[in-house]
Amino acid sequence: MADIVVKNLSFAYAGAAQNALHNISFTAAEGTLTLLCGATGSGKSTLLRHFVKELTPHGKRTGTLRYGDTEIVQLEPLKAAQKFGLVMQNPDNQIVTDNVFSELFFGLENLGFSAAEAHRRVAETVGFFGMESYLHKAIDSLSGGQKQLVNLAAALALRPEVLILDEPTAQLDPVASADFIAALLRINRELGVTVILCEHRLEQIFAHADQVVLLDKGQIAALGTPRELAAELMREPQLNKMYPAFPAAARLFGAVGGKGECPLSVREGRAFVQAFVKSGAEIHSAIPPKPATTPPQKPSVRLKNVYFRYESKGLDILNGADFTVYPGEITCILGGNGSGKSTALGVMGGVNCPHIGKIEILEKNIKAYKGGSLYKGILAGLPQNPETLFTRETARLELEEMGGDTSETQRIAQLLEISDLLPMHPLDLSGGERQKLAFAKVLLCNAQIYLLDEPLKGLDSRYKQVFGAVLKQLKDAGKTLILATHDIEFAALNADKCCICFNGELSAPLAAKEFFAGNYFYTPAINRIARAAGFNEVLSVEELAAKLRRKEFTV
Amino acid sequence: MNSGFGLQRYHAAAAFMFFAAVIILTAVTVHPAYAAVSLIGAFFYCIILKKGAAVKFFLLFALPVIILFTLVNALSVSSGVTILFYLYNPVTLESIINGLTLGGVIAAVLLWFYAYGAVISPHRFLGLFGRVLPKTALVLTMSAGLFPRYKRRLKEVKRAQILIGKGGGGIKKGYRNLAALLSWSLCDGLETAASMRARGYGLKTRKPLTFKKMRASDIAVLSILTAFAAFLTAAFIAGAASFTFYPSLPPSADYSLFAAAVFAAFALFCLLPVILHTEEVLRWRTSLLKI
Repeated sequence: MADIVVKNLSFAYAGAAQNALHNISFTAAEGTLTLLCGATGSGKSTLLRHFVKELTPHGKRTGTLRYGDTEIVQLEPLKAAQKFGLVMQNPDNQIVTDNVFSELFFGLENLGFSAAEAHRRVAETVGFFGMESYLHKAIDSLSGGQKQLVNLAAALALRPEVLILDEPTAQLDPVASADFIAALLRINRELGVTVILCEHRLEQIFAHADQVVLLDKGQIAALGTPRELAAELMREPQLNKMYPAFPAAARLFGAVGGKGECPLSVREGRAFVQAFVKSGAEIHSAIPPKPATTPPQKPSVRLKNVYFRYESKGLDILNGADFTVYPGEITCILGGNGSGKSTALGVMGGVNCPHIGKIEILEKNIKAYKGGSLYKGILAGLPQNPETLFTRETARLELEEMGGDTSETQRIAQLLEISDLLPMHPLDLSGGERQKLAFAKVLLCNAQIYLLDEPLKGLDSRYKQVFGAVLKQLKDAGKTLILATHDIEFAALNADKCCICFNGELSAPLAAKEFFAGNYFYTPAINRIARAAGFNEVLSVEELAAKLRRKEFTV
Repeated sequence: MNSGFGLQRYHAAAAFMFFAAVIILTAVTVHPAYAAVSLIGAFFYCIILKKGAAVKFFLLFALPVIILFTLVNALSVSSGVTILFYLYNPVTLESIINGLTLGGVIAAVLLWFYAYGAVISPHRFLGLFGRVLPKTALVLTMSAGLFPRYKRRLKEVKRAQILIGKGGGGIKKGYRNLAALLSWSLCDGLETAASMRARGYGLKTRKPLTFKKMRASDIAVLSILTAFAAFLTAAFIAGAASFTFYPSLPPSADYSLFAAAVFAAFALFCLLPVILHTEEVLRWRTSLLKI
């Protein structure tokens, strides 16, 4: 075990004019957890890859990167593979074999361990993660969260001294990512493994880091303990691109100009709010305004008593779903993995054909749209995996094949901030960029109804705001937007209506405020903080800060 | 983890040895009695292993094979002296029995393969041969993971393309879907490679480890099976199981004590999986009663 010391590290990719990393220095002490954060393109992934000898990027490099006394690139290869474990973003792609058991043995087999030693290591790893129940399952039958835990366990079976993680929870739903982070924290706390990870979702992990390194344009913009860093950065939110990703409690602290210790978790945030609300002061919680009764409209999508299953002998995935959506609204379908969200979108899009029930699109039975006429200007969908839409050599060709005129293509590219990416091959783009390109393709369908399946996967917090603004424009133009998403925070800020998909049934869409005010833990962090002062309907940091500043809570 | 009995529980080498021997021995002998016992042994073993599914397999594949061979042989071969009736050509009893035997042999081999599938999973197979062919074993286990994934993805691509108005049938659309799947999957391969290298792949010779230890009971069963197989092979080479259908039945077969012993050994060999399995199931049941 040893410290990792980065000193004056600069790096430029072969052939690139600009440095991707510039003069980076920090120390990740043995047994600590270092969180690297930064907006997309800040160089955090490039930095992270320098820690794994086998993946060190090619290019021009100055400065040093040592593990103990040795430069990481000069580590003996077998030692490097054993001491440094790696987990990356996509759970599927890192898995080599077809079942959990062999996957855990994979690294041990590569390094030539004896059978007895390997069995013991796998046994204790399985025990540590409690994965006995799916040890003999085929990889293909596991959920994304389970697959990512398998990746973590496979790395841990080699007993690494350092774990390097590149946005390991970006593709996971909130519950799975909380489980993953809990496992990671246990490894750090109970086994003393040094952890270096980068993430854009900071709400869960931020408070647990020993050290946070904030990168911007390849340089260190700030470095310190989470509390120091949050307190410092929250004073000037406009200077910090990562601001929206910070924990809700810290943003609230900044927004009301808090003094003293910056709260980081929901618990601390609640204590902070309660201290703000002076003792004895009576809270008069604003009565949630009655949602304005919308003028009677014609529904754009309607499901009536829909039953659907994938296999004739399988279970019904949709179980008598009833659902009505109107134009000019953003509707979010929330719910866990496997609750039927994607299936419901497939049914609305006509690619899943229900065995019972009726679907109406613009008040016409979906079956009456013959010969693909449904997909010509009426309905378009964004799939869960953006890669399913890419068939061309460049992003530009991808957009042009949608048949819009050049000015429209350019407008959409600008709107979604992908103009710079157009000359690139779609699959050379990062996960978030692929998502943007796929969304651009879908928008070029110029439809009335958009079905978006997990559209926020891999997007950073700043871009989520851009995305929210684009959705608003579309809704104002009278389009119908239906999102299936795990992202509670996004839904709280942007949805008009929310509903929950559970056990194959869709709840009736409620106005977002009403929906979240009625939930207890399935609500954004800021709402759980605001409840401490009785503001059950608050859904954004700004809203709560305004209330606290106006002292709305005193009589 | 093992939930099976008999050959499912013993070391894969024992099961593999048995199936290799029984399939080859069945296939090289065209003798009505041998075909019959092999068919019976295979049929009952399949039923024990797969229950109703085995009956379905028998009715859909094995039985039609028997009928087909019998019909074809009866109608096309007119050798033999016992003419039963005429259908363009004379149809003889010898030719029917010959067809029935051929069909029985093929059906028995099919059923043995069916049982093989239930007893030796791809993983047990790899565990057995992984050490001899480490690279092949890795490629096989990787492909086993990729096939279901690609299948699922192709479906996903089709649906996604429909939803942006680029769906539908036709070769051109099919090609588009395949192109999307291929470039997506190739790109993923890069990340898989990175993950493999980070876990030390290619640094030294890979040593597959997921094999099972041979226990004393495995060695005992394997020795018994090998002894049977060796004896039967020698006896078959010596012609103990030869049979002639033409020109006439009753056959000019060997009715010596030796021939009877060989037949008994073969019958016992074919029934061995059923016996091992049932014996263990019974032992398990009695162990429950003792509690």
